[in-house]
Amino acid sequence: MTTRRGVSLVAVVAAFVLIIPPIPSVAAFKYLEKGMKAPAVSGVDLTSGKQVSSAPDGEGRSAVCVVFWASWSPRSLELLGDLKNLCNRLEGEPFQVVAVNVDSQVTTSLVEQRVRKIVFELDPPFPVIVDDGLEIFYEFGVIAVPSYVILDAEGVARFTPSGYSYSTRDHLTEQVETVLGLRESGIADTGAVAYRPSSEAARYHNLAVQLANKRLYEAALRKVDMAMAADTLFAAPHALRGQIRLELGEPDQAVEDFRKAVELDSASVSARAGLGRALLEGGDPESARDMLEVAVESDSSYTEALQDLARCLAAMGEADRAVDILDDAIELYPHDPRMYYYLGRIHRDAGRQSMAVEAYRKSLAMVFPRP
Amino acid sequence: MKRLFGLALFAAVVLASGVLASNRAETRARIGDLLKESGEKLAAGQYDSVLVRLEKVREIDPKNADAIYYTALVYLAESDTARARDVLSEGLETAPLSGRVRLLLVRLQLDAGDYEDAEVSLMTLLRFKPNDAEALYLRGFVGLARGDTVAALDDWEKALEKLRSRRTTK
Repeated sequence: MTTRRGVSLVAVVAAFVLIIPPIPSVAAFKYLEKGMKAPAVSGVDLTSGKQVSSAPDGEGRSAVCVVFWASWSPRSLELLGDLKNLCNRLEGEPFQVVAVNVDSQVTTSLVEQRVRKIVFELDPPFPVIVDDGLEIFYEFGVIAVPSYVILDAEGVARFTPSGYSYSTRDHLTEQVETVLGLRESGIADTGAVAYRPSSEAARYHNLAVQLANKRLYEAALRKVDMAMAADTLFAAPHALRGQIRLELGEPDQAVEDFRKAVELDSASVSARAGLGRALLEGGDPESARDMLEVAVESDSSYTEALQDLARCLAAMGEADRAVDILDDAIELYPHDPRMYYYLGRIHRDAGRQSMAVEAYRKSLAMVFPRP
Repeated sequence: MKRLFGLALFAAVVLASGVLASNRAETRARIGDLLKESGEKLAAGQYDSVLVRLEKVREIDPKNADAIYYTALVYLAESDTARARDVLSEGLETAPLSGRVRLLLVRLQLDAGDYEDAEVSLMTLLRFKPNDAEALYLRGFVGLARGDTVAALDDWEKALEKLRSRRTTK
């Protein structure tokens, strides 16, 4: 190889590495990434009536799988079935599943009946709890249903795949066995090496998430500052501050926060999606669209990003494409009233009143069900 | 003498307030227990038991909006819509500010096609709660019934915007 050819090759490789951005990994949770300590999940098991928890309890559990599922999600039922089989296969190993039902914000008697029926028919060898009020759902920032996280003996997230596609399915066993130490990490360990923040920073961040979910934003921001001070390389607090700033109607500041989060963790899909939303709210739909398209490309089940992308396209006059994207998002998560709200807005702006009426009606019927 | 009398009167008032406050707290607790039991019995479909308990609540507190509301729900569970409407209408005479009671009545009025009655009920509610999202939602149906799609969409958009709006106090 001549020097000139060698230089050319080096230049090509360097260009590839430096110019092409790393492909962001998929996101299952807004507030939990690999390497972070997960919030403890606890509740009453529907079958036994006993209190259960995912927190490390010194009883020798080496791996815990917390799975978020819903009765209206066919893939959820597949995932629960696969987890049942896996538990049976790994009987005797220090592995446990905690299944968290996130059917709806309010657990009506109808919802409870439906969930109990599924649990009765499945007869799982693991506890199932109902997340009444969706507190756990919001604490994790669940993006897609179903989603699961595999925690190690210290409660640290080791795998956080999004949704449950065929490829995720293939990796489930590998992921659990990896955390149990039954195999070396390999194919299942997709994505970049996770940054593990300091425990102090993670603790402040988790507190900030809880406060933000209760809309105590000023207190949440104080905890965010403490998380940032405890670990300057931890991206999640910057993203959280961006989200809080969006809630407070400060999109320009939110853009700065999300940019910083992306700078610290370019693999974070939720940070990119957040930046997309902030740009959209700040009146720059084109830049928002570019950012959101990257996010959606790496995680096609990220419904919030799909929703925001649809809003961008609608703002840019591409109503039909926006509707297609929202329809895809609704198929993934049919119980989010916001999807129908945006669908209604797009139809109304496009002069399609009857379709707007239908969409708004569906949205509001979810929020105000008949008693 | 006058001073002594004054002191005695003051002491009597303080004592009486303390007793009253204690009685009120006990009453509230009793009502709370009865309503909780009613909810449990309602979920279990034991409607007669529910009505007995709700009747007791209304004996203690005739204006109790929760008792009115749940009584109507029992009649609805028994498919007695007419009786449910009567309970709600009568209940609003004693508890006119109860949004929950009024909104349930509106739903029944809409179901029956009584759009004018529903609109009157809603206007009363919207007078003291102009941005009540559920009221706006239900008023949208009145607009649709009249063929006024634009008004319906306006109401529904307003309701959804209200729900979306999450600006909060720090």
